[in-house]
Amino acid sequence: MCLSTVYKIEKRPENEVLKNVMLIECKNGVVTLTDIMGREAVIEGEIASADLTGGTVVVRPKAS
Amino acid sequence: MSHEHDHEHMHEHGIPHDHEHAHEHIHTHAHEHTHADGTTHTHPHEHAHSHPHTHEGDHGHPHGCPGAANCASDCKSCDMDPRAEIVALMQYMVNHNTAHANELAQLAGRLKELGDPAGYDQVMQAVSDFEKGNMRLSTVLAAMK
Repeated sequence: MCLSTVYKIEKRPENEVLKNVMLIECKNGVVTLTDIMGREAVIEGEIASADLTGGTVVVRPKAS
Repeated sequence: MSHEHDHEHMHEHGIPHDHEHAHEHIHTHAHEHTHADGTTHTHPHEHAHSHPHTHEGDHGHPHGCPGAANCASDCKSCDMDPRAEIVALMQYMVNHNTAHANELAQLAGRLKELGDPAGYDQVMQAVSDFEKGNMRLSTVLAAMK
């Protein structure tokens, strides 16, 4: 139930997509992130991992 | 039906985009067909279908604030109020702490059921202290609003 930080590819500071994410929706190959302020980030791809105790989610973008 | 199109469209958050996404839409068109009795005519049909669009490379982007990841540092890349975000986070944490206090109290109850009244008392004392701290946070939060 904690807020998460979402990264692309792997958990590295430069890969951070959005902090304080409270909602993640996956639909039709698109991952939509929403933070506590209602800001959204959209990534084409899928969730690679979700560390729910560490508050870390990694999204694997769709290969180009 | 196969075709390409490039148009601006809206996401659920209402921000227009000029790039492409997979989505469903409806086309209306007429085509001729022949019935079993030999009658041939045309009339319009509607078809709903989706177009799988292809993006060039990686497509992650924050919507509404390009500096969303660093909002607390007041990047000034948008008109979002950093203080409002702090208030929102504190409100979230106060609620979160309340939920955790309840969960800890439930754990204490399980210790009691397992015949550990001392453990129950200690955890409940910790819950009480936790709630006092959260009450203080809640008071600060109320003053910030």
